[in-house]
Amino acid sequence: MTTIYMNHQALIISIDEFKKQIPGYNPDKAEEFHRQSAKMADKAFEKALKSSEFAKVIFVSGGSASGKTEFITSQLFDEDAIIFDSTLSSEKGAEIKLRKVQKVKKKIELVTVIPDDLNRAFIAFLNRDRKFDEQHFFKTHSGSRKTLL
Amino acid sequence: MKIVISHYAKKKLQYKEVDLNQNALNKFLETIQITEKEIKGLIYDNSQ
Repeated sequence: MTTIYMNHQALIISIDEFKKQIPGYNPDKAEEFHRQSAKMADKAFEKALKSSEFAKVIFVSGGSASGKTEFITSQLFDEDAIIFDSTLSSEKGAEIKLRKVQKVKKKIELVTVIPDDLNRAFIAFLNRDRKFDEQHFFKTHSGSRKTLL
Repeated sequence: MKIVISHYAKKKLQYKEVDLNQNALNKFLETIQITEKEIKGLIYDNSQ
């Protein structure tokens, strides 16, 4: 699983990292590669659940450009866990992932990153390399909060 | 569940954990709900 990266002890699975593995990936058209990279991350996650000895899974959720990846690399790098970096903006998708973890009897932790200012996060969203339609921002921030309920 | 608020300070993104007990958590989760339409409104109101 070359697209999973070990950061000290944690096994981090990031949908955005998988995009870089897709032939022809262009950050300017990141949205076109999102579905495929999400599928790749899901497969890698399943494999990690089955084959790794980590006893804990940490889901780091939050809308696009809320600071999830930076939080993982700065705060969770030494966790002895599988870390899934995802917006969790779909309740159904989140439920499926949680069930899979429960099935293999690993401990689940959920960390949600919420920006103090949506305008600031939107500017970060517009200025980063990976380009998505602005609807993606609205959808992921609204959806990830709804999933928490 | 842990909820952290990201904010900019000293030119970098920083995080502060929300201090919540189980009772306050549910209330907090309700207060942060926002629809796509509301976010869009918030963004465009501020851009004008």
